[in-house]
Amino acid sequence: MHLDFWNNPIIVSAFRVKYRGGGVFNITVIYLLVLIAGGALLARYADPVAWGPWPRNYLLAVLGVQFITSALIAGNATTTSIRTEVVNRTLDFQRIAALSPRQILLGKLLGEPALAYLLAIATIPLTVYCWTLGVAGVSLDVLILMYVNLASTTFLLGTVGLLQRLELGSGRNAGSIGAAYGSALILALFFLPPAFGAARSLLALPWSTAAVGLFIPLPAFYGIFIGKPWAYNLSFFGLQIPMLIVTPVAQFGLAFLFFHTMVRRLINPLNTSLQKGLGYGTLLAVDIVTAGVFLEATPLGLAITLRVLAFCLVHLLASLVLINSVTPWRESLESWVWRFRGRTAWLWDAWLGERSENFLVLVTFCVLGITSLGLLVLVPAGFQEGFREVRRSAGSITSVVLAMVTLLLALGSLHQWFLFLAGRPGKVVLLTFAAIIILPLHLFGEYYEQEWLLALSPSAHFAHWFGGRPLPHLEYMLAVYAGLFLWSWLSVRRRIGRLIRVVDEKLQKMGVPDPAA
Amino acid sequence: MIEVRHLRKEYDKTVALENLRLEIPEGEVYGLIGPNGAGKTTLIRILATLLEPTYGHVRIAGIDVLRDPLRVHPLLGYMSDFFSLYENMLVWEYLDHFARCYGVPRGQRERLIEEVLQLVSLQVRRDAEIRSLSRGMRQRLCFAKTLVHQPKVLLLDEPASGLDPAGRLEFRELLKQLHAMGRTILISSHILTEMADFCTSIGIMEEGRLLATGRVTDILQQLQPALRLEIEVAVGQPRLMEILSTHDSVKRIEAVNGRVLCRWGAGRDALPDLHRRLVQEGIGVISFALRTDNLEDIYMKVSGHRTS
Repeated sequence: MHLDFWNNPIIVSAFRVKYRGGGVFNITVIYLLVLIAGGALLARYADPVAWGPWPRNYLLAVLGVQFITSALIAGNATTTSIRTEVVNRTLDFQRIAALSPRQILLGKLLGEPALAYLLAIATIPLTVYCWTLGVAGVSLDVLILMYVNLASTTFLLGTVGLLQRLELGSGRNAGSIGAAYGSALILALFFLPPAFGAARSLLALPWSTAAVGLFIPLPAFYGIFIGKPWAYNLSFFGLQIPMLIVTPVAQFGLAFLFFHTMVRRLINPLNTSLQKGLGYGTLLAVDIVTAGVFLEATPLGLAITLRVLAFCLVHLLASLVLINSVTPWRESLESWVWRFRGRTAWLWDAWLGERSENFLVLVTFCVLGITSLGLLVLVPAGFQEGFREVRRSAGSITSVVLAMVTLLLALGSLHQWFLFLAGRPGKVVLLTFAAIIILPLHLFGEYYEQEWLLALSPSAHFAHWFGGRPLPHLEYMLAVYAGLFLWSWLSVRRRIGRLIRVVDEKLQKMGVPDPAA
Repeated sequence: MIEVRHLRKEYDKTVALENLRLEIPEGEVYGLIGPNGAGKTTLIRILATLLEPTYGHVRIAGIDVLRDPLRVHPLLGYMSDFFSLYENMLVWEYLDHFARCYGVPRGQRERLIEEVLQLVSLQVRRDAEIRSLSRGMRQRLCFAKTLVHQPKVLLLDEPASGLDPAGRLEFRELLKQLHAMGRTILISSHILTEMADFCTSIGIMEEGRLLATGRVTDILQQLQPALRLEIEVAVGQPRLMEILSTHDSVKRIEAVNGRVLCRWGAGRDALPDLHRRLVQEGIGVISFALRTDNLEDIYMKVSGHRTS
């Protein structure tokens, strides 16, 4: 990948156009003046006894405003830019130029949100001023790390904005995207202060700190607020890693996935979001982080069964998200039948091949889950609390694992079936279908206290497991979902078989001697 | 230069391209003719690597377009019938942007930009904002962008649509210049008379199939084994009709507005004998001419008399 930013034509053109007439420069100066005026008002009217020291409050205010502003500008700028280019078909010209998809997207990511970066730079004198006045716990490295966090958050939102469909007529237009981001900004300004107020309870447990801090830099902010920026850590197999460092790493990791997804779309809109290999790697990373976080939770009362339960639930949810990213929809699968099948050995193709059906992915996800559970959760738990304790929980662990595997296979296979039948809109159909077969059973079962209804609902089982009151008749749910899995998998197989026959006939008529050649 | 085999494109249940086979040698100007929905744009978009075919093999300059699109990109200049420009850029900035996108070295960029601006007669608007350009100028600017990296192959999808007659004339001259420079050009257009003027080969498409392809003269010969003869006489038309109807090589005689039209099957060499005989018979011949089919006639014949 070329990282020669200043010769990237998209960055060069974006800066040329945006700097013309000093537009961006003017906005930056006005922004700086508004921030200074805000600081003066804070100094004049905020009671230091009730509100705390001015340098801390002003530092948090400047950084807070900057996080929201930069992130929203970045997201809005990249989304609007890509969408406008798709609608106007100017993106076609970029796609067939000698630029690689990575260069195009890097250009969009760094050039379009130029204002976001400039505004962030403009705040540096103000934050440095606060730091020189002295803010409890904030050293120069903390300040630098806050800017790294700012960069990663901006980058993450920018990559989220890049995620656009390339087909004409799909997705929203640039105007509605701008309006959506504007609304998000207003909502953020309304709801962030209460969220900040709830930060203390949100960051009380290691797993909840991880759940929040891996995505947004709330622990870092709240740390500065209480005068201990290094107070919040990610507990990772007993190792304490400061959230000030973890948050940007996690955000850059997520940003990479979004960026990579869009690179693949630019290469070919029929590509699935992620390659299967990257899907396995990502799931493994999620498993390792999950296991690491929940291991430390034990002294706070998370028993082995609960740890297994939490791990399996995270694994299941992460698998479902990743299945969505690696499962080919109708057009992709058809192109596999026409052009891709037969290029490599069947097993290799099903496991790692581009656009092939997702069955072996589901199996791999199950194997990964069980292996990670054994190696990363149960073995450390055995060393920590004794293997006898682990064996004592074997019954509950087996139930949870069985539920995870069955649900993963069934929902993953249904996913493939719906996407094969309905194309991309199949995702919405699947979500509706899943909500219909899961939630009403849970709600009516709870309301009418009908155990057999609850026994059919996966969410009811997980809720009762977490509550320490396992539901009887897990086998009802297992039977239903195993049936759904078999039915959907066989249907997919039958349909693919039929498609292969039709395509082979067409190829024969076309006079193609060997389709795989 | 362009080689297409077994090309097929399906959109749901619609077949846009059906088992297409096409070869365009280097330096040809190949015109794609066909009604809307014939598959011309689909073919050009596949060649431009913007669309994946359902099946098929496509090679440009020996490079597999489907497997190695990034290597093909520098060779291609693509212009579509519908296009937009970056409204807030200046004319030279727009060309500079694409020159950079194609990796044109810094030292050559300025010279190339001046050259293409001159080629499309936009030098005087070099520093104008694109939003201030007229439609014709925009079209010329887009064409200049297509040429700025000196591509070997030009894929032009209805490039002259929307241009006024003068603009079309200029455009035609431009294409002739590019042809003279040895570029391979694939162009689709509805304006068949214009295509005849600069295309060395044509392909007639309908419903995703290539009905006929080859050099214009070859196709003419294929479709028109008999020559069309048109004779205008001042006196002696009944005698002329009599002579023609008894001649072994003459078929389908008809008299239209004082002229006699017929099919002549004996080849060009035998025509002087016929002319001599008519004069000897005392028929006052005003004109004695061969008429060849034009591109519109060919298209109408091949496509079964459907209108474009």
